[in-house]
Amino acid sequence: MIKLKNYILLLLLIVTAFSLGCTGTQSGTQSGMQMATQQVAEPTTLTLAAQWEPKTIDPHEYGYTGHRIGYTESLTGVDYEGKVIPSLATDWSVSPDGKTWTFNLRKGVVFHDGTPFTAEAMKKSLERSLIKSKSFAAVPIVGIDAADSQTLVVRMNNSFLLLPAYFSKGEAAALSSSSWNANGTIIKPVGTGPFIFDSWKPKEVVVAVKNTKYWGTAAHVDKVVYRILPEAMTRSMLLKSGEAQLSVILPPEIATGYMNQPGFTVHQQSIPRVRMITFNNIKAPFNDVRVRQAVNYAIDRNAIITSVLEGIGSTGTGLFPPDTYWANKSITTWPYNPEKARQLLEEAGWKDTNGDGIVEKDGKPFKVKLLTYSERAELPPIAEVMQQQLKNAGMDIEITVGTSSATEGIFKTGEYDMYLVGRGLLFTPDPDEIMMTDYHSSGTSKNVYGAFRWNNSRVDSLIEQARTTQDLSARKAMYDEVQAIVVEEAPVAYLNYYVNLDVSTDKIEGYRSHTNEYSYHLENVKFV
Amino acid sequence: MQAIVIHRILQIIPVLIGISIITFLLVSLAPGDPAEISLRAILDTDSPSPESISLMRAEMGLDQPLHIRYFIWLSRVVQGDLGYSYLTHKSTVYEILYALPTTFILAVSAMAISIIIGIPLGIAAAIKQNGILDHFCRFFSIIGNSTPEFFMAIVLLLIFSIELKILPVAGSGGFQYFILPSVVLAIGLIAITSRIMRTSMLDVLEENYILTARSKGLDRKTIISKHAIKNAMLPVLTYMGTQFGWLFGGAVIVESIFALPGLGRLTVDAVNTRDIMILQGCMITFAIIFVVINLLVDLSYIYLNPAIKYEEV
Repeated sequence: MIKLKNYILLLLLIVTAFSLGCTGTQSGTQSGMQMATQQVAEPTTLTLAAQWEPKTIDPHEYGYTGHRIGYTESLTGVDYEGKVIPSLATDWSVSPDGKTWTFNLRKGVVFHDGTPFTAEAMKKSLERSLIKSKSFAAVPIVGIDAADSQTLVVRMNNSFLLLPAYFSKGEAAALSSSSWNANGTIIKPVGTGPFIFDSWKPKEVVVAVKNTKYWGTAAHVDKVVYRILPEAMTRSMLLKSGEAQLSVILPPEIATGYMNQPGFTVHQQSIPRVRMITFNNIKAPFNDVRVRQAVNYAIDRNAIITSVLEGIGSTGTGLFPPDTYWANKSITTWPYNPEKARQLLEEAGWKDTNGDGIVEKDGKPFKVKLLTYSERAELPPIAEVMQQQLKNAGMDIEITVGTSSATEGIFKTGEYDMYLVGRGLLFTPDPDEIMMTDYHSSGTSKNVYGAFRWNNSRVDSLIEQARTTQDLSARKAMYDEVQAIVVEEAPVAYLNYYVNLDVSTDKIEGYRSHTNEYSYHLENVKFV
Repeated sequence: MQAIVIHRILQIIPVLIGISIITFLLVSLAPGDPAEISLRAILDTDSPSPESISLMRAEMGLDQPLHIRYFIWLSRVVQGDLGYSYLTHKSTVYEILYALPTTFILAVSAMAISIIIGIPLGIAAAIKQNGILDHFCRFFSIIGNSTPEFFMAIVLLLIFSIELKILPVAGSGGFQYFILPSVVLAIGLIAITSRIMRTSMLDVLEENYILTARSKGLDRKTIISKHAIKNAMLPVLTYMGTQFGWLFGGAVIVESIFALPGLGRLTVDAVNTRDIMILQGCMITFAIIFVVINLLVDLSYIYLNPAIKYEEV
């Protein structure tokens, strides 16, 4: 038995040594942490936790990280409302035929390696980007010329008004040619942003330091540590332990826990992604506009938000969330009115004749199939809530949940009545793409998530007209009208918008969530 | 002895062929067109054009018949060419070698912790059957085995990182970053290891040769340390062998929570992004790890119980 006692003793020793070891090594990191938070005069390090992981550090292949952290910039930028704004180009214009774009570049900008940012450098960078990036496959660029040191001319095959929007992308970042080696392989991104790229450890961390020679307002913090943490719970723990001052994109169930907690701020921002139902517009019963409107009246959108989405989100109005530039702000949410829904159904010939609560037409009960997929976890519960709501208005829906590839297979055959989807809207910060694919008849005749097999000549002509209109507010007016028609004709029903929830600690101020996570604008963030 | 070793090693070959076929088929027959899925990620669009899909299919060799694709694939794999990740453009072998050390450290430390704690706990519980330690051990096993890793990780994080602030939350900066994840992994292992050790020990203690030893007049300490433990170790070893294999793949949750760039995370990422080459590479790696560990377990039997040698030949 002596041996056992010895063993336990040994075990205790190991455990003690182990814990001593931890505290010993830990004190180093902790003092580093305190340094970051307490002594403001000393170098300050901002740590943020995010789930997004760059698969490559080459901004021309994967541009999001550089723009978000702020070590790269493009000719154009995107403001908090999702509108294209000047960045490295101060202004731009297009020839009347829409084929030649001229960008006037910002003066006095230098790359992080000290070389000047000129039209010639931008030309080199963009030419590499066109080869490396898959984002510009749809852009009909013929050639890029440096007219003089501050003027860049881009020639197109045909009229293409989306060029400034495309040029805002991370993949169009301005990189100094010292960023890549003779083979064109990235060494490290050398950009123009308020931060200078420092290092990258795949799946773990990207580090950037302050650019003291930034053309705009210089950053407050000296260093940014972007930590990659796939698990939301871990991102939350990092806030609590004080290791991070900002955690981006936390799920509602975690973020709501911070809402009334002192020491933390929850940043709520709707993003251009809408949860919506797309109706099968060529098949009964949804080939009748009155039935589609009835569904809109029968859905209690507020109840969906409170019961499924933890109260986070705003009810659907038009295609774009109301706090973004492209939204038609005069559209209001369809009111919840089951009486009105029944009335519209009756007008369309659907009436409950046998008293079972479900309406019938020509002796057949109203029974439709709703498809949705499980990858977006909130969609199936939303479908269930709607099932109950529609039943109250006399409509019986049968829910089919599958994987997105399985439901898409069914969707393509047209063997469905309603398809509940989450639809991303502004991959390129301009409405043209989504309008063309989802609402213009050339797009809706194909199998896309928009207004399935629906067409409206007024909508078609407005979208086409917007393609050739250069004036921003005139274009917006056209898209506003399109959105209003779509809501009224209801080939789709908008339920609500996705919301990003970011949480920051009181140690910092100046952070604001960006609607499409274009940039975290960390140069505005400072320690208090 | 040598003959057995060679025999065992030769047995691996058909297993590996089987694995290669299954790996190949699983990925080939998975739903969804890999070309279309790749293009969606590359082009950042929901609906890539049919022309680009057919080009991509040709590029990925998906237009060939299945059996030809298998042999093309196998000949590449044998040469160590597991293809490239379409996302990172790095070779699969590079990606796996990058992820392997993290998972290896994690698995070895979890295994070490569970051996150091689990086996003595099991022995002690068996010796003092129904004593306080035995009850404690049982209680601990039930808790340890029925608590999901996810929950355990959060509880430990709250205690050691948020309240006591002695361990970092996540990352992989050094030794202290591996403590919590390996403890989380070890707890479940300790729970089972100690139970198996206890049961096995109790069985062995009732064997005739223990009775003989006792009647021979050997003291209890010698009986337990010289005769009982070694024999009682066999089932524990089998269990730990398979668990060690599982640790490599089963560390997925722990690697995600603690943000460790290991093999489990690589696999899950590959599944989520349909990065087929990486997925195949991971599956093959897991399979090889399993096979090698099983071989080692088998060989260690021979060391622990030489009687096995005569039964086999």
